[in-house]
Amino acid sequence: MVILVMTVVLGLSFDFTNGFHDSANAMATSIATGALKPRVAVGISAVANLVGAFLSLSVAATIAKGIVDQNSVTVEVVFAGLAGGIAWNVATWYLGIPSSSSHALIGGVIGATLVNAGRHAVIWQGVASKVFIPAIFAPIIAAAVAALATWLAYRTTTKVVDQVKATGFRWGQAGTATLVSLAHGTNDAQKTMGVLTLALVANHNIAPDATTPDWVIISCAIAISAGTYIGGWRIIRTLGKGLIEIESPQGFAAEATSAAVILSSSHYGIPLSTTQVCSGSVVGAGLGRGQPVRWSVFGRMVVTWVVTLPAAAAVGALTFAVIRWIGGDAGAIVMSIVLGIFCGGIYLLSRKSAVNPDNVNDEWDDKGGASHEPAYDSAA
Amino acid sequence: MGILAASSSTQWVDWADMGKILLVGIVGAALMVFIYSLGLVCLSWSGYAHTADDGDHPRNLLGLILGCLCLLIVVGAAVYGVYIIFNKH
Repeated sequence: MVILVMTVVLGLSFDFTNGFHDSANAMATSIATGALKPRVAVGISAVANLVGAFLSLSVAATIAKGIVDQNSVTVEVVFAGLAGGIAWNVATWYLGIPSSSSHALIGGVIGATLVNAGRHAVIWQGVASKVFIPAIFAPIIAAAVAALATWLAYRTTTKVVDQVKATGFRWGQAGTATLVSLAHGTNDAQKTMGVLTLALVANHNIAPDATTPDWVIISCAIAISAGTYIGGWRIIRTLGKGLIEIESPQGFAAEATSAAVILSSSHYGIPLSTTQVCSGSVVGAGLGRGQPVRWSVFGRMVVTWVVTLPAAAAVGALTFAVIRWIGGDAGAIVMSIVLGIFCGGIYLLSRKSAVNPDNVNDEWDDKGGASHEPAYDSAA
Repeated sequence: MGILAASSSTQWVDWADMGKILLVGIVGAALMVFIYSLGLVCLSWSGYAHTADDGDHPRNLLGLILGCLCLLIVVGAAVYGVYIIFNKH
């Protein structure tokens, strides 16, 4: 019972990290162009995520489906998978790099499953088709579409007065960014709902064909919304200021592209990462304007995307091994404390170069863009 | 090893669906951006969107109507997007 409670707590914590990690996806460009004030942007995104979490309540498709053998999934596996996802989310947040929370969670579950049931319990074809191939194509598709959209936006409005152009595209940005947030809430909040449901089924608390309990739906929706409102300012800064010097027509084109690609992939059932789509869109917006892109920053993102699954898998595997070695409940308590210390340490480290709503739009410097005076308010 | 073994015997991804995403993405985003931009062009032409700092612009009701129509189409597309989200499962 203790391990189940801790798994639920870990699940909601993962959802929270997912929220602040991914708030950049929808709002980074709107904040960078001044379309929305930073706090207003994350506030709108939080509400849209909350609404999105309730918008479609069919949570049948769990995160592990088609990735690992469902019979090998135990509460301990879910716990370890979530630990891997949280550790990776927090580490990449500190580095200010947008990476896929879904891939981190999948990696954690795969690592734990490998230790629990061996490599035959992992459906490698599912890993390839649901993680690796979409990871390659998501940013390429998004960049290509965004480049065309950006070119069109500038080409069409050459004779429009600058003031009208800037204001008009900023309004457009606010709308499309909200749409992306809504789609994000539907996808990512339900992902955690699915994982927690899986844990409840594995622990025989609910039947395998039971619907997701209301308390899971409500708590997951609140957790991702709260995380989004905290605002992952480090990642917002990288995506908004680090890749290109973005203007409002580019921001609108990037957000419209992200919305169109995410919604069409959702419609056709191809799991493209929101993070990778949004990052690709921003790069495409730069290319469509013929603007220099900071490829070193994008290169760091790509390396992180490649490393995400194995790194989270390593943490998941280690966590599961320790739980098994120490024993169920005690092992879960020990690993929760270790994870708490890790996250706390990262948070304290981040205070040395805090990024917050006040300095999120400062000029980018190539050392990582967080070289401003430390701020000690509610920065995240 | 597992991934390599899988790659030799199975289809990794539905290329047709990937192509559809690219097509729908291009058409959807490009149309949305184009129509919205057209709306701004019409609004700018109408003179209603200008501030006093932009100088004297004659008011043109047709431009205003066309501009608002374009923006409404984009809003309609966004609402359709919400409909897709709602029905995705």
